[in-house]
Amino acid sequence: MGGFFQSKGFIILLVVIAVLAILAAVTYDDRAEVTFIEDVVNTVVAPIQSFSVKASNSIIAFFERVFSSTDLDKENEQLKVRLAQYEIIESELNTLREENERLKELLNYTEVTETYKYITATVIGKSQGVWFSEFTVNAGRNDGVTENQAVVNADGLVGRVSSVSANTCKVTSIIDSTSDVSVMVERTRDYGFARGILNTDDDEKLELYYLPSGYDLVPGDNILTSGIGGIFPKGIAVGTVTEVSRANEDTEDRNAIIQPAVDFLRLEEVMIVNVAEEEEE
Amino acid sequence: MHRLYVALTLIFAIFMDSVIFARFNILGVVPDFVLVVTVCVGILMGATEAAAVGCLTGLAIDVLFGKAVGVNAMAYMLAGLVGGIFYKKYFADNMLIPVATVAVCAFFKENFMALMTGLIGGSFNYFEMLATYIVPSALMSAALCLPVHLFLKPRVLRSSKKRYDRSAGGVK
Repeated sequence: MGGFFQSKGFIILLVVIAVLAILAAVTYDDRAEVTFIEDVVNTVVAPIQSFSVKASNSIIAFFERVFSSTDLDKENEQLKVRLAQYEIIESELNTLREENERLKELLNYTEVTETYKYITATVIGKSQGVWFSEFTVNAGRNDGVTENQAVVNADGLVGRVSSVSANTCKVTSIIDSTSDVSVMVERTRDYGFARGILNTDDDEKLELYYLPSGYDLVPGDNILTSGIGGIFPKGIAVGTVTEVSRANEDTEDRNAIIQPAVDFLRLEEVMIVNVAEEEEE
Repeated sequence: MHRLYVALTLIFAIFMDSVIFARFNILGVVPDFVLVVTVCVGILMGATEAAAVGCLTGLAIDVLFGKAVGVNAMAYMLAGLVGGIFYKKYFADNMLIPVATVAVCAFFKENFMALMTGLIGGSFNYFEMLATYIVPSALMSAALCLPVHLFLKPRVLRSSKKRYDRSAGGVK
């Protein structure tokens, strides 16, 4: 055994471990651009991943249809109701937008109007295990994706782009235990922070922190992005409060548990929010 | 030929870990298929080959799905080395060695991942994760070892035997 620790193999092993440790330390943070080798690997593997994910999703969907007790008519009805709800929300949104514009004019407030464009992408892989909640999507630098862009789907906020290669990017979801999102309570306009909880439940949840003292919060309150921090546009649905706890402002205790608006277990397509630059006239 | 089987099994394992187990799990617990294959490679083919296989597969996983490049590479390389300790040191029919080795390696790998998560700012209750994820996941990986080892063993041993026969023939 003593011979092993003096052998060439042991020295090579130590060198490899040291190199990998340095590599991990350098790459753990968000990166606007990945290395050339990562770019090549991602570019080569992405089409295979896309194909295999689409094929497996089709097979899974087939079996889910076979074994699901929900019939298609019922599902269709539910979708119609949801569509009607979205139409109402859209109408309210337009009213609010007009009101907002009027108020801004009154305040003689000028700002560049940000218009958002969306890059649609498919989820082609997820990180292993439960420790990190990251996933890879098939849109990258060539599609206009850049680091820290917000990622959403029809239900609400999914996460943000953490690293970008030519044709793929990695997204850190809001349920990742290292992720923080600046949020506000829709009803009271109180600001706070939402953080992912690391647990093994299928039912992923977020924790709400740092609400002002004496906060008014009830289960069912909607939580939206606050727009503070500049990554997530204001007003995107984050989730709904399911459990309220009474915490003091100066403690690290959470204020509430939030059920995310997005079903992360069945996430297939996402949209990356691309803040379009002002077009030159 | 056995290297082709190992490569195909690893590709299948990566697909299962990143696509299928990401959607289907038992109470949120998933096995580590790649770790299972790496340890089996160590037991059947030796430490050097398993360490190389673990390191390269881990690097690929880190690049494609990982948070930091090198974390999985390190974990799988060490798992391969531990598997290699038992290379040619146990009876081929004894399934206890591979199963126990996978369970121990999976336990340490999940603890390593917990450490990495803590180091980059993730907050969690370790003892809760130990009870609800780390131990069940290690046991699940150990259970998965049975079919994987039974699949790889005859193919690797047959290939080794052919090579041995060829080399013995060459000596004559």
